[in-house]
Amino acid sequence: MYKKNKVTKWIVTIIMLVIGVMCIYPFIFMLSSSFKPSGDVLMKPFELIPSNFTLKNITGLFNSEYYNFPLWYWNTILMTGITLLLKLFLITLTAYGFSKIQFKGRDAIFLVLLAALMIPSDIMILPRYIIFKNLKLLNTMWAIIIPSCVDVYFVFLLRQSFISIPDSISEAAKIDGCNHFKIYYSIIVPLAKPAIATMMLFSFVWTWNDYMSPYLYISDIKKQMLSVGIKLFSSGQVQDYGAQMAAATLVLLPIIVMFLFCQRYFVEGVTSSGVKG
Amino acid sequence: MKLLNRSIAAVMAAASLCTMAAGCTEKNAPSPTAATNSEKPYEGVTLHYAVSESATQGGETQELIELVREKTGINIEFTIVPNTNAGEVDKALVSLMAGDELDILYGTDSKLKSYYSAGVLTPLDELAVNANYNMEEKFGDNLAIYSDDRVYGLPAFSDIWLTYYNKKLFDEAGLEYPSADGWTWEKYVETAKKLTDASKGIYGSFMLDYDNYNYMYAFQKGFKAYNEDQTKSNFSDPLFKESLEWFYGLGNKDKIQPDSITYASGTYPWNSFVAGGKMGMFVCGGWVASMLPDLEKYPRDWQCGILPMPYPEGQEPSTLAVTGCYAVPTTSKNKDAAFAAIACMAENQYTLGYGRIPARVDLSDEEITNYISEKLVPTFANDAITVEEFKKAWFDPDRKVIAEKIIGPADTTINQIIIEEAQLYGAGSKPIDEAVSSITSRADTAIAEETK
Repeated sequence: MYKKNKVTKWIVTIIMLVIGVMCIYPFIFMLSSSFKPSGDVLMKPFELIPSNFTLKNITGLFNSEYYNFPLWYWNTILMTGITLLLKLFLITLTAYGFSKIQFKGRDAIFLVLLAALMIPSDIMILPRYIIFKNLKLLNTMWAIIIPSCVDVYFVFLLRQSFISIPDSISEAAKIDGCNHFKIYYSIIVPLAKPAIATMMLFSFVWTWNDYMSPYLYISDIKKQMLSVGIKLFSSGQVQDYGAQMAAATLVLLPIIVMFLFCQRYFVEGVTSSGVKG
Repeated sequence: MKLLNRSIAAVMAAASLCTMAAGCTEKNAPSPTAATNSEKPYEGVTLHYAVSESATQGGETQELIELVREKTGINIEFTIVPNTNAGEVDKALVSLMAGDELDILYGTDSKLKSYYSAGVLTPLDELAVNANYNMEEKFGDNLAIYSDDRVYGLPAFSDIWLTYYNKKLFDEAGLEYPSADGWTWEKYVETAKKLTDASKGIYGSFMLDYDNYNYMYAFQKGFKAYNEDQTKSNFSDPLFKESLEWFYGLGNKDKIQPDSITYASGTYPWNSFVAGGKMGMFVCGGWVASMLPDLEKYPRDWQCGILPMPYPEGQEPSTLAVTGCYAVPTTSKNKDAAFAAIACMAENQYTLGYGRIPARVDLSDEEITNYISEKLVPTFANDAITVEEFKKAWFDPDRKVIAEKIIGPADTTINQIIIEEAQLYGAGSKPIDEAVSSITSRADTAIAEETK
């Protein structure tokens, strides 16, 4: 019996290992190809450790006359940073309002907000474009930041989390003389840290990888973001696989670092909210 | 109070009228300089041209706007729009639908059709009458004309399909270079079989996994993708099935080119013909020729020959082609000036010497010969392509020209459906009849959805 169980375990482990290797293969391919000359990228058999090791793909990204990779990197960091800060403030405050403050029509307003989730994003492209045009926000990073900051999905998520904090705690704080902002800042936010961290992590990944918004709302190549910028390596007549892979690796780097440090929150986020990255 | 309201309303109405009138005068009328210069009536006018960032960096675009400035006095400023792949949201279209002012657009005739369907293109017929310009005489059948029989684009050049061949591989196989006369698919396959040497990784034939390879053979045999009133697809026509079987048979059965699964794996990217030197012949659009003179990016120790596109035996010689056109969007506030600019661009772009094939039908044989010998032959000097070879491949007036892609209702969706289903057949995952039946029913649904 014991022997049979051991064999089954081994078989399952081997199958899982094969599946794991298959899942990680694209990543390994990208990483390895970043250090190969373009001509060697598709060479058969695949070389895990490049025989013609080169750093030119990476140095080329930072020295290119045409593609301003460092500037795109900076734009993306700035845009993501501002988005996260604003989002942290606006979404948590909105969620607090909808969960802890009683006011007339609260649930009706919340339902209207939730209804926005049902509208397919493609339908919003043209109206949003016209609104940003009229607000003179086109070709600025605010056209990407503002819609991200009013994400109804996370308002819903955090509201549910705030509701689960007993009202007796906020009532006790009120008796002690706290106003709403003090309760929000000193009690609710610290208690809902895991949910807020989940929101921040997923928002970071989604904002960092957002392709459609910079593509539609930013025209000036100097103001462009990484997600659209790396596409330029594969358009036109020149297709430089080495540079593409190096660029993709550098774009992924912050996400990988973030994931390594915050794995726990990612897993918690997925299990508690059903959100998938 | 009422009197005050009325007075304010009257003042505002008068102000609006004045503004509108001022706007009309300022934007539409030629500049004062132009009034004194009948040769350049739009001198000093500035137009906005929607173009990708990479195109603005290219010498050809820069020289083209310089040429327009020189010939018409019109200044062209770029409005940057990113390149769009099939299936992606087209930023230029979103921008036009939002009313952004643009004066000039570039696109292939099928691309412009999507703008036409969205109602953002200006018909050029009236503008041509105003300018006393005979579009038919200059461009003949190459004009972009859509279902309302009006002209929406002036063609600047034709991208005509060719057969490119590697002379070194022919020499090594001890074969004579093929002749342009009677260059049929049957001869192509026979030659490719002789060139193929699996032990050296050499394929006699090379094609890509683009949508139109699936139906090019059928098109050359007279296949139409839609029924007459374009309410249904016509993929149940046996010609389409024959085309799929023939195309995938080249890789799967005859083994003269990489098979469908190998293509799908990306092992042989689009530039494999010039980059690898192991493909005997390559049938593709004229744009491939632009890579030939670039020996720095594509160093090679062999010469490339060119032939016309092969055609099915028993049929009249034909080739696929696509035209690059310039159009005027409805949001242009200087439509007459924009027409003058695009007419200048369409007429003269080929003279800039970037290996373009003019879409003009009014050029004499002498003008064509001069163009080939002065511009094309020097550009392709490394491959020693002769005037005669260029003429037979690109300037044969007797060769039937067929649009390279399906153009009609739901065309983008249909092309995507064909790629998906036909590749399943090519990979052996779906029987041919099932694949054709799926293409037909999915295409019919797409047409019904678009036309309802």
